[in-house]
Amino acid sequence: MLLKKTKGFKPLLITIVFVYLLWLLGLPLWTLIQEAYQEGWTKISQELFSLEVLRAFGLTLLLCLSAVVFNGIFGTALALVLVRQNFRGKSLIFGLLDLPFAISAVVVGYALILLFGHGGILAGMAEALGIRLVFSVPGMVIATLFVTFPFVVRELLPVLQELGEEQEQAAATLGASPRQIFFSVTLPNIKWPLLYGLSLSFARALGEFGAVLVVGAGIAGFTETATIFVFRALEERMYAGAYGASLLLILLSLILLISMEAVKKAKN
Amino acid sequence: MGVEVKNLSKEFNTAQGVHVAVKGVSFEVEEGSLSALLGPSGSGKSTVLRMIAGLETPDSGEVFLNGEAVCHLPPQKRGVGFVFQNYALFKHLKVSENISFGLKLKKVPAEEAQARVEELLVLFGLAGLGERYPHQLSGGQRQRVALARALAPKPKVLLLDEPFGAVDAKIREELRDWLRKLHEDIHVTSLMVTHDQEEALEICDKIVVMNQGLIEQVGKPEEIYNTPASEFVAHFVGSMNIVETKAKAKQVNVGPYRFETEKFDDIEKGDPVKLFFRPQDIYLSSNLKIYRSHGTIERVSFLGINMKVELKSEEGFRFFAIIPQYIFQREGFKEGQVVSYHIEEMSYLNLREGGEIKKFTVSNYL
Repeated sequence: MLLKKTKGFKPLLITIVFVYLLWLLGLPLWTLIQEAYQEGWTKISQELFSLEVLRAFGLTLLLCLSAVVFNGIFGTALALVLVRQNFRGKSLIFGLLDLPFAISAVVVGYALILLFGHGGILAGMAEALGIRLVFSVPGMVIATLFVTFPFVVRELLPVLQELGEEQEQAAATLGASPRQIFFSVTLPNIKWPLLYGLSLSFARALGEFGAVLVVGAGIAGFTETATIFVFRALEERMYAGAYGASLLLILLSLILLISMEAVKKAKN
Repeated sequence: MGVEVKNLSKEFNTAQGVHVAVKGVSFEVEEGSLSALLGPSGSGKSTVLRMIAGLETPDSGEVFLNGEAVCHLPPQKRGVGFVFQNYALFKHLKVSENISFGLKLKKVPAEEAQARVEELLVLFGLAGLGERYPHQLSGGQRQRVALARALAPKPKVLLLDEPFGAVDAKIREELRDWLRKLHEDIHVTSLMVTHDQEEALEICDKIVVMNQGLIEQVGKPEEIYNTPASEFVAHFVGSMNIVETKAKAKQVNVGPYRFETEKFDDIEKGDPVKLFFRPQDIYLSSNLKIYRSHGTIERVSFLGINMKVELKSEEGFRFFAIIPQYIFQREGFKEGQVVSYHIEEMSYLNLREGGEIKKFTVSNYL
């Protein structure tokens, strides 16, 4: 109502939004492309296909996929338990769900080092299992899982709540076993929000820096992810590599965002 | 016996404490009949139905389906069809896939299943809708799909939980008639839960009236209506005027009526007594000489084929009558008019003794 009455106010607002977005998103991206162009595309592609960059991207992909697999299984299971079961401390778990959003990833990484590192409470357990968790890939997987954990659960909770149990009960009276019920009734009903939650987890894992750096220590060619590589390349003035890796990360994010939009449409 | 329930009990733990939903309920439903569990919300009727289906586990008691104890069996193994109030159709499956769901699980050969689905689509007035998704159907159609899906695997017993609760009044009436006809065709033992007494009275062979986790009365619709066993049934099923009074030395007074206590073998001086009479058992006339008692019409409401007439007797006793529209027109009743009336059938309950409500013909006891 206010917008209609004041002439010229609406175009002004839209202009502000555009300028803001351009300044915040467009300009940095443009500068990056500009700088990369000046470095020369040949040099950049050479850098991109160097072993350490390939390894860094390989590791990032591995972390992203572990986030997808683990959150897919445990996120779905947790959401089902939270919606379907009543137990003491349920509200506490609900409160803790968003913890990874609130806690700094660096703190998370540090906490994991304290937990699994020398003298940590779970150090013995990790040792007994023969897994090295600190300054290693398994530790980075755990850190990634921590920061990506809320996405699938948060996406599924309202959907499961709305879905209710009647379709599943109807399937049961028709003779479906619990496994058949899950795969032929529950899963088809939650597949789009699940896929959306998994894309968010993937995106978060792709861009994660702090937690994986602290836990993995960013050892080049070993525990160095794509984002950590960009950081190191900039510090060591390897600009071609930094720009190349940055642009590739942006490209991956864009592909992910576009597919997420498609998922979102299907979801609704 | 199609369904037999023995001493079924169930408690739920809620935030407010333990809620006893069902308290030792026993009843039987004849094979091939259509029966109803009737009661207000919270009476435990749905819980009983869900325990029969295996969707809830009873704390104690047993359920028999066609003579076989089934409480140890999961819902998958009980051979019941269940219809939910909100249809619970599989939203991601087409109508035909919904109906064939149970057939596939039973490993019915594809061709046979296809033929069965086609047969059901026709029988349920859904021909041509097999390729649609549930959200493309009306409420009435959805509920028929839900029924077809439940009946496709030929269950021993069909259980319906408020099956018409989610559709419009008009469609509800149509579905009700349709279900009765369907039942006459296929004769599957059916038990439905409803809070709508009209629905139960109209289409069921037998009604189990429940209140607060207990059974109030079991009987044919006409028994439930004509001879309600308890105050609750009298009040819940159909409309009823209820008057509470106290027996005096020799009389029970209700409005203009003076009943002599000695004519009743179970009423003594001082007993608190409740009297019940149906609004349609009241005769009204604009001619003041026709009936002995007189009263003033306080309010008139239009009910369609009937009229509701609220009266205040000369003695200050208030009640309401329901009379057919044509009588109302013929007599020319209007608000404020003094009319004569007579109540012919009454029932009474001695609150001191409790027990069953007893019916009597007023003119024999005056």
